[in-house]
Amino acid sequence: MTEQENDRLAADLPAGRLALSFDEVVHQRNRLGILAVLAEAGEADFTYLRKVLELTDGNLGRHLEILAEAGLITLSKGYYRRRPRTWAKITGAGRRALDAELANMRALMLRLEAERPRDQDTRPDPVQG
Amino acid sequence: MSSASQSGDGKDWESRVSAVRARVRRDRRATSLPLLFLGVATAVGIAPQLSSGAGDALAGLMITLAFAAIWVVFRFRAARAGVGRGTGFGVASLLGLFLMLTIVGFVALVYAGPFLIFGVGLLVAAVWQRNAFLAVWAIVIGGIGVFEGFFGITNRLPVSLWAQWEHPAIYLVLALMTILAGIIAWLRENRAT
Repeated sequence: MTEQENDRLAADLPAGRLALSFDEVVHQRNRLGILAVLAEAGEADFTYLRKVLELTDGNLGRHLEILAEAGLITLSKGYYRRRPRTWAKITGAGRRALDAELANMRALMLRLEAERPRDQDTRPDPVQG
Repeated sequence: MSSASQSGDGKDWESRVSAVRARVRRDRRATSLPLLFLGVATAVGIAPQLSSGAGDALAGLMITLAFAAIWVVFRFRAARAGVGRGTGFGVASLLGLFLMLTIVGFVALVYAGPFLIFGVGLLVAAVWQRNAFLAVWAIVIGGIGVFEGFFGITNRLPVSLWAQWEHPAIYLVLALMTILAGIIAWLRENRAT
């Protein structure tokens, strides 16, 4: 499915259904960040991802494992100046999942923007004052 | 949560993704470095033609060497900084060698000029790197260069202007535009936080 088709289908869904169509694996903030970095660079090592995304070793490692298990990235080991390095590389499925996530998010934002005037017309909740 | 605040969160989310991608582009110098290398190499290859009227071989060689240099620099930066690879530019340099060393490629170069290597090589690298700006630059500048390779611009100039230096001067303008685009891309990459 192309991005335009995805956008069009998403635009036809109600906002609640649209939110349910997000991929849990990709939608998580840090995993989305990892995929965004890898989509731009193709591949990056563990240290670079940790620095850019400001994550701890354990946290990043866990997110990389989840993405690798889902087939969205591949992990490989190597050495640079006798130091071990772990490289993460985005797969075709990873790129497609990221594109779909971005398209869904944009469609949801458009839907919410369209609903905004109605929200602004409603009076404040009396319980909240 | 109101739809207005959700929409605001969505925009924050989108700007964060954009910021991360811009940061990666800056760290890799993904756009500026190839443009600067190619622009300088092309200008160096073209400059002697302005006075001597020599052929396009030197420019073709310099562009091929520039692709190889970009590939090496990207590999070095990837090893040091841990991000990206120069894949695509290595292929572009091989493509340049093919065009220069095979009969079919050489004949194509004689007719189309050195910007055939520039355009096709940069387009291949840009597709490999998924860099839309480089792809557009390859098509526009490579296309104009190849058009001029057939004297497409020179032959449309008033006859009074015709001189030996016109043809390489047009090439030089394209090279200088590439350097300028590289400088602008460098400054834009610096804006990433």
